[in-house]
Amino acid sequence: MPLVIPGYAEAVARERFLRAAAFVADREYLCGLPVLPLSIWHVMALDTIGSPFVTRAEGVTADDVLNFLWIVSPRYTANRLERRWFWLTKVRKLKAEAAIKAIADYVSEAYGDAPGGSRGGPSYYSNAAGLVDALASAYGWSERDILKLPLKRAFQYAKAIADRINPNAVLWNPSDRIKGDWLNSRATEN
Amino acid sequence: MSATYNDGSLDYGSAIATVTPSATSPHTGATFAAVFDSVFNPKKQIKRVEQTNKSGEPSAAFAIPGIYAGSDTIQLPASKRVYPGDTFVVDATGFTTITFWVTNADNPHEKEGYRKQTIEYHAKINA
Repeated sequence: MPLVIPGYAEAVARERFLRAAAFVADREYLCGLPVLPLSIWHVMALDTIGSPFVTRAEGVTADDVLNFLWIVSPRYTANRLERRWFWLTKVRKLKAEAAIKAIADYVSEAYGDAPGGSRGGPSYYSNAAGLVDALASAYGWSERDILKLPLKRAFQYAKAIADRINPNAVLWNPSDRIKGDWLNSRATEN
Repeated sequence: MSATYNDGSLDYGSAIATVTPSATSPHTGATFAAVFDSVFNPKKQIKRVEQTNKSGEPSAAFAIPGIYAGSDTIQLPASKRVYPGDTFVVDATGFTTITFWVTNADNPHEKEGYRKQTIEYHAKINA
């Protein structure tokens, strides 16, 4: 008799939908605002300004919410007046708690197909350099194109490359969380 | 397009392993469950012996059946890992009566607190 893990079928269906949608949709909606799919460039820009949404630091401020929504906005420019206009007309009235949760979910979803890792060892280059190296080596794409690639697609390509190079590579699915929670609950019962 | 394509059971014929830590394992204690990432399909090792004629061409051969062995990635509870010397049984059809012995285990890979590990194993002869 097959083993049934509650919620697993729904998780597999959702990851299948998200993977396909990543190749179709060039806009997403976050806090009711149109945004670009999160890309490597976005993450590096947010990391540079110490955004807690990518550094996982504690304490999110209203300015952090504004910076995040502005950087992933299709209207983003370096112009401070435009940023000010964006704050006044789009962001100021948002409810902070709901916005923070929506942004966290948006980031988490973008990282659904991100690779895991084994413990130990310092990192010698940024995640951006690692992804550019993997995709440029495999496909010959330019750095500029790869940096603008949605993470949801970049990570799928990176997994396909890892699987081709090493059929025994350890790969992750978003639905592995459901299996992991089920295994953890059984380990606790014992 | 159908509404669903998966009935909630583990896909790709993934099997559940019940791991028993060895007496010398840092994780001595209760057994725990692990899930194989893909189809549990160990191969039966066969030792083949050929007899050749004076020209080096095979003229006769026989084979000695070996034991099941394989290498797979398994997902583990977050607090557990598998060590060489641990044993496990699997719920996969055709293998339920066999105890497998872990002969090699890579360092665990982790993502968001979840854990996977690649192991090598073979059937335990005197289970």
